[in-house]
Amino acid sequence: MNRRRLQGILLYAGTALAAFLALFPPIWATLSSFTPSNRVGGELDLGHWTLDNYAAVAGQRDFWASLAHSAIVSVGTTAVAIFLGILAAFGLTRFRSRFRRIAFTILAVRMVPGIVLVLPFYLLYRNLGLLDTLHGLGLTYLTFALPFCIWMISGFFESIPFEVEEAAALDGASNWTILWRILVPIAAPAILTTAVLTFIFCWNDFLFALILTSQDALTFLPLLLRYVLPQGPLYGQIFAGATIFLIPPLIGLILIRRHLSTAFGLGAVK
Amino acid sequence: MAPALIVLAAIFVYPLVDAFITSLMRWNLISNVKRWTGFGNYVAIFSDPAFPGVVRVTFIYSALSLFFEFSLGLALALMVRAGLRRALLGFPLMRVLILAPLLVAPLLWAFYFRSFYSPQFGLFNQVLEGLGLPTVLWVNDKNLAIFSLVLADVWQWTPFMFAILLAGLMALPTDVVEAARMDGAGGWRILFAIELPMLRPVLLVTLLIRTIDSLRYLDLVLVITQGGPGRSTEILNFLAYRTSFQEFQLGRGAALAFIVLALVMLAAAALLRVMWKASR
Repeated sequence: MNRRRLQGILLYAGTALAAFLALFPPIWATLSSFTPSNRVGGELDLGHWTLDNYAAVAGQRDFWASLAHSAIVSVGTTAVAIFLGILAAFGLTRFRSRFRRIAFTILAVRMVPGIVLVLPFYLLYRNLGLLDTLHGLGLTYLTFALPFCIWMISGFFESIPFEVEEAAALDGASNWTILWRILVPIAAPAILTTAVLTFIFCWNDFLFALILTSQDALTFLPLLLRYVLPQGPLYGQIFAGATIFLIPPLIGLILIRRHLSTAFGLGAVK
Repeated sequence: MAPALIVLAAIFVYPLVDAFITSLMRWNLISNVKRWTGFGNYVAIFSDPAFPGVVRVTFIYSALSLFFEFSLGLALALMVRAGLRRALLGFPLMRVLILAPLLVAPLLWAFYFRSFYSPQFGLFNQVLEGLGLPTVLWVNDKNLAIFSLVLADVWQWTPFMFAILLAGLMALPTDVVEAARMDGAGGWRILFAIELPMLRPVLLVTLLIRTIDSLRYLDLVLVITQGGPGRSTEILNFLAYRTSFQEFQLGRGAALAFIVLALVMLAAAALLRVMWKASR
C-alpha cells in the first residue's frame, strides 16, 4: 500500500512537471507580452501590466493584413487538400488492393525537405508571376497538406467495414453517393481532426512563406522577422503578435480535443 | 483519386527535376550568370574544408535531439499510461496539456528560446542568478550553442514522441502481457522483452519522422544563432538555405538541398526495409 502510494505520487510529480514544462514557454511569452518592455531583452516585470505591446502591433496595417493572408491561404489550402484527400483515400482504400504500397509512397513523398522544393518553386514563380501571391503560396502548401490528408483519411476509411457500403450498392447507390452520403458522414469527426491539423501545419509554415512572399501575400511569421532590429528583437511586440497568432490553433485544439490522441496515433502508426 | 495523384505528381515531380537540373548549374542570381557545370557543385561542396564540420554539427544536432526526445517521450508515455490505468485524477487532462508545444509554430518557439537564452536579461540566466549560480552563455559560446539548440528542439518535440508512443502502447493487445504477468514477469521485464519489441514498427516510423523533421526545420538556427558563433551551429539545412537565399548561389544551394534529400531517402529506405520485414 505504501509503495503503491509512493508510486502514485511520483507519477503525479513527473507528469505534472512535464505538463508544466510544456505549457511554460507559451504562457511565459504571453504574460511578458502584457508587461512593459522598454528594454530590448527577455526581462519580465510582473509588477506592471500594460497593453502597449498590443497597441503597437495593432497600429500597423501590415500586421492585420499578414494575419488575414495567413488565414486565407491556410483555410483555402486545407479545403482543397481535404477535398482531394477524400477522393484519393476513397480510390486507394476501395479500388486498390495494393493500398499499403501506395500508402508508403505517399509517406515517402511527405519526406522531401521543404528546402528542396522551395527553390524550384521560387524560380518557376518568378517566371510565371506567381511570387507574392496567395494562390501561389497555397499551391506549395499542398506539397505537405495533400500527402498528410490522403494518409490520414485513408487510415480512417480503411477502418470502416465494407458491409456498410455493400448494402448501399445493392440498393443501387453510385460510388459518388456512397462516398459523400455514407463514408464521409461516418468519418466526419476524423476528417475534421485532419482538417484542423492540416490548417495548423499551413498556419505554422515559415520557410515557404519567407521565400515566396514579400508584401502583397506576406503571411504572419515572415512578418515577425521585421521586429528583429540590428540591436535585438522587440520581444514585447513579437510576443504580443505570437499570442494573437496562437488563438486559431488553440480554438482548433479545443474543437478536436477528444480525437487528438488517436489522431497522433493514426497519423504515424498506421 | 486521379485528381489528387495528378496534383501530387505535378507539385513534386516538376520541382524535384528542376531542382536537380539547377544543382548541375553554376548560377548566381545576382550576376545572373548561368552555365552548365555537371557535378561541379557537388565536387565543390565535398571538397570544401568546412563541409565535414557542417555534417558533424548536423549529425550531433539530429542524433542528440532524437535520443532525448525518444527517451523522455517514452518515459513520459509510460508514466501517463500508468496514471491512466489507475484512473488517477487529472491524467486525461495532463495528457492533452503535454501536447501544447506541438501547436506552436517552430518560429515562435525559436523566439521564445532566443529570449530565454539572452545573456543579460534572459530568463534562464536570471533564474541562475537568483539561485546564486554562475550565468551561462547559452548561444554565444561556440562549444555550447549547438546543445542549447538541441534543448529547445527537445523541449518542443518530446510531446510528439510521447503522443505516438502512448497511442502505440495503449493499442497493444493485453493478453500477451497478462500471460507474461501470470508467469511472474516483472514490469520492466514485460516492457523490454514484450512491449517494446511489439511496438517496433511504431518506434521506427516515429524515429524516422523526427529524423526527417530535424533535417527539415531550420527555424531555431535561423532565429537564434544564424549558424554562429563561428559556424558552430550551421546545420546542413540552414547552409542550403543560406547558400541559395542569402548568397544567391542557386546551383550550389540546390546541390546542398539534394544532399539533405539523399540523407532523408537513405533513412527512409532503411525504414521501409525493416517495416516490410516486420509486417511479414
